[in-house]
Amino acid sequence: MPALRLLSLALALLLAGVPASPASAQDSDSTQLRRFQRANALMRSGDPKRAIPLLEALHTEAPQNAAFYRKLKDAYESLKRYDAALRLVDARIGDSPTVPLLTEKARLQYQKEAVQAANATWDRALRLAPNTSQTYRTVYQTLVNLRHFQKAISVLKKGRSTLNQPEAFRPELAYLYGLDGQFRRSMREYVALLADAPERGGYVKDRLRTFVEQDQGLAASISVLEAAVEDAPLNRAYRELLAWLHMERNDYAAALDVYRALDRLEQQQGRLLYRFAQKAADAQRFGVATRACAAVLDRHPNADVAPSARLTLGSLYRQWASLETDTTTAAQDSARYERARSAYTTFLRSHPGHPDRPKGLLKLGTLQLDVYHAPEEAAATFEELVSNHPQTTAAAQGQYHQARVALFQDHLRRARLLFSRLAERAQDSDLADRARYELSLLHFYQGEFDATAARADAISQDPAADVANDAIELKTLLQENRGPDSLDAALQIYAQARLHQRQRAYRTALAQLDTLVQEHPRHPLADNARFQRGTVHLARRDTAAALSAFRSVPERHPRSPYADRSLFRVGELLESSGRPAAAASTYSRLLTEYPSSLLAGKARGRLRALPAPQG
Amino acid sequence: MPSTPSRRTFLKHAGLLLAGSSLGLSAAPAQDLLIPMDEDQADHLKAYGAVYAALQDGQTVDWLLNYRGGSFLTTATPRIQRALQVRGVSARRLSASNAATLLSTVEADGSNKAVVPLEKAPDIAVYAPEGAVPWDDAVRLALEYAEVPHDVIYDAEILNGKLSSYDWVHLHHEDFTGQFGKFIRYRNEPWYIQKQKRAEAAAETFGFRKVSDLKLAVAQRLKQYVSQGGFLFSMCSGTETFDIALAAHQTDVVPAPYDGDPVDPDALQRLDFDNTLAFRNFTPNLNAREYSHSNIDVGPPPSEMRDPSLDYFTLFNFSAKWDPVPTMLTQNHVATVKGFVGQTTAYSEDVLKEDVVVLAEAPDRPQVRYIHGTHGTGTFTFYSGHDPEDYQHFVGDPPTDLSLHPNSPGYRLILNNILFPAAKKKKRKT
Repeated sequence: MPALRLLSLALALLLAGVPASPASAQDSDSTQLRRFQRANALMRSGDPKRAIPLLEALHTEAPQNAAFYRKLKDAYESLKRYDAALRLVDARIGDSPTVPLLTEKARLQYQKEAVQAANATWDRALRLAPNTSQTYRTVYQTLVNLRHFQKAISVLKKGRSTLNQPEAFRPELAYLYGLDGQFRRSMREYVALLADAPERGGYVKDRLRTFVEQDQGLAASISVLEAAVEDAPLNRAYRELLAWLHMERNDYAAALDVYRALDRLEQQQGRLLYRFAQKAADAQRFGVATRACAAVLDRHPNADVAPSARLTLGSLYRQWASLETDTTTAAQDSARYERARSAYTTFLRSHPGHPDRPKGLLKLGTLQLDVYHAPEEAAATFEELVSNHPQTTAAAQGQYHQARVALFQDHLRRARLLFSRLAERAQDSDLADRARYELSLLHFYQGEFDATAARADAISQDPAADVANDAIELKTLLQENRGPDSLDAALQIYAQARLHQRQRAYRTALAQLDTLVQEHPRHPLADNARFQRGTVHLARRDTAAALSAFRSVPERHPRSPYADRSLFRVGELLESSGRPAAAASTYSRLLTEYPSSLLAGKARGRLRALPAPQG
Repeated sequence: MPSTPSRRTFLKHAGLLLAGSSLGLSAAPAQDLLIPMDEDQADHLKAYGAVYAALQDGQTVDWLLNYRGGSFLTTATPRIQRALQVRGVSARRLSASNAATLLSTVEADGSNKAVVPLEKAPDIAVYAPEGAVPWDDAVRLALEYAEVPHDVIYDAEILNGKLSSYDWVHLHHEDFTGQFGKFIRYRNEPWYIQKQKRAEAAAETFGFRKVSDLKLAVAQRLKQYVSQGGFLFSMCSGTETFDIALAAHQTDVVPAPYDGDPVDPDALQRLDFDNTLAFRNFTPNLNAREYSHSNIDVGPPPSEMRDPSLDYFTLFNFSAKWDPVPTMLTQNHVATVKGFVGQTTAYSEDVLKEDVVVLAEAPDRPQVRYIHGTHGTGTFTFYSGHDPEDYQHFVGDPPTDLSLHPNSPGYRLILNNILFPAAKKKKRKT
């Protein structure tokens, strides 16, 4: 039993120092060891009552033995015999009190609920060796173990004053104040810590992390730091911590103010501000991020970082305008797009040799094509990109968009040529996949349905491709809607209509969809055509016509997969035109007639937001 | 809003109207709604919320015990129809005559079914501390998901006599022994210290020396609330610690790390099991470092057998006409429910009081999961485990998203309890 032997050895060592003559010491030691082991076993088995007589005898025999003393004290405590434990400690204190013994006595008094006596004993301990920092640490540690935080704070404060060391116990006090909910005081200690050691910002953030989760703690910390910044405006550590706290509170506007000042104080020429703009953009705080970029350009128009800030500004405005969750109006979105365009054009005009010029051209070109629907302008931009910066990644993207421009302008041969080149050159890239899918669409628009199916099939073989789902959808469209005649007349018309819709030739698209519905009213594409009519009317902002078109889908094709979608669109249009009761009735119909629709959740959400019926 | 007549009264009128129509009187056909609670229901949990909303509107709802998983029948008003639709709850329209036929089938002698009219939306309170988040407690999750309004109350409200305002009270996972959940390893974390400080401050405010004394006083008030007709529901360690606190009312079972002084050396001899609600002859765990509170809880299955796919418990099948209360509490669309563990996972059969009704038990093991009992004129229901849809929940785990479990049988058992106080009291068949 090696473990037992080790335990015996340890106990024997504990027993060392028992005063006895060398001849009798061995016998005495061995019987004491056995009795001590027995007492220990009783204590472990939860029977301190039977352990006490053994321990008392041992203690009487060897009152200076620390092991006997401690174990006996534990035994008394476990039976709540605080008076006996105190007598034991008092006896040990005798005429030579020490800080640890007095601290122990105070702890027992505190547990006995003699709080005043305990405080007096702790004070006595402090008076015993007032010029040693360890004195205060010993008492403080006991108080923390008792969860007596306020007294612990007062002990450390006393130590600080007695030792005449205002910087003593700073981390301990800061932490204790935080635990005790005294956030302002805690922050003041951290501020003082940073004043002496500005490199400890990371440590302070780490300690603060636990209580900044509480709003109260966050607000108090910010208020203290703001005052510190006012007193020491050149202290970078304070400002960095303040900005961090503002961001923790999601107050990016306040953080921007701090970064503005930091940038100026550190003479960073906009670099800090620009870095902050990127952080704010990551948090989707586009308003603050654009202001930060604008501040860089305003204050440091010639700084190294200015061109990147300009380009980023454009992208931020564009992202902001296209944010789906944003509740801003179309006019505001339009103004943001305009600012994006202005930022891109200014960047390109002002920095012709900047390494990010290809990116700038790409961003401007896509904005011109997708937002402003200006194919000529976009074509010129992409042409410059592809011709002047042929070896860049942006140029490959530019070629893809050149093909899209050609499609938009109805230059289908050129579009096919450009997409084909890209599909061959870019090989396994996402861009090549997209080009291949566009090629299959081109076949579709031109009525080459076998070729369309072959290409779509090839694309759909690679489920990892982003466009695989689109390809499957295209394949399904073909499988379900070819015939009944050998020329696939209805599908031909539909494909033409979709091309014109994509080219924003809405009148032509509508005319073709009307033809399809009139000439092939029983064709499986009829429901799709009616739904597309609604979509085209919506794109033309003709709400009344869109409503009528969408309504016709569930009426004429109640089993169509477009029926629930059409009803939902009708509900949305009625809501936006100020007819909540009619909208509610439409959503209700959707839920009743199409309970398993994928739009049911959305319809329930809309219905919930509308006024409840009476009765 | 005026209260509508009960289903059966209404149908008598409908019968008269129908009879009248055959005599040439014009009458609009009455429409009713059957809310099925079997496999045809799309969202069982929200169905309880819709029923609660109807009761809040003053509408009467009939609970058809043991009929299609405990379905509901009510009048098809526009408001209830909207309430059902926005919640995605399945319902079927019935004509008045079909509804009458259905009711008579359910009530027929010899069928193990019964109709219980629900008449009043119970006022609900959840006992939880300030800052407790709903996703830490399965009942609050269920109430939030089902959209059942409830107040949150804590020690101050209970000691200030607010309990009488509520029909149904649920106990958040509180540690009524005053050991702060026995989370000893977190004792130096700021959140733990804040929690302890708040509890100590509350104890001092109400004149108690220790948190365990405060919690005992709260437990005594809750017990008194039950004795005076209240409905008490609790889960996980909120059940076990409640009875430990009551049993230890004359002694100290809290180890020193939690209250600064050791346990009473004679604590086990001084336990008073006459003072508890559900359990007796149990032994509290006096070791501060062990997470378990007592041997009331048999603990989770051993780790090698802790397999969610094998762990389940079965619901008892009660007679709806003879035992309507346990029948209400066990309405479900399945007979077996997935197991789940918690600080208190399952109750040992050996420590149950004799008059406690077992509602669900783990098969082939001497342990039970769901129990019910009466005390004075009120009732209590205890349900072991933490979260019916999260087999083993740990501190910091993401909250359960109930929209992914709209048909959860385990959560249904919780929601049965909130409708139980809405039932019109009627004499038992016995």
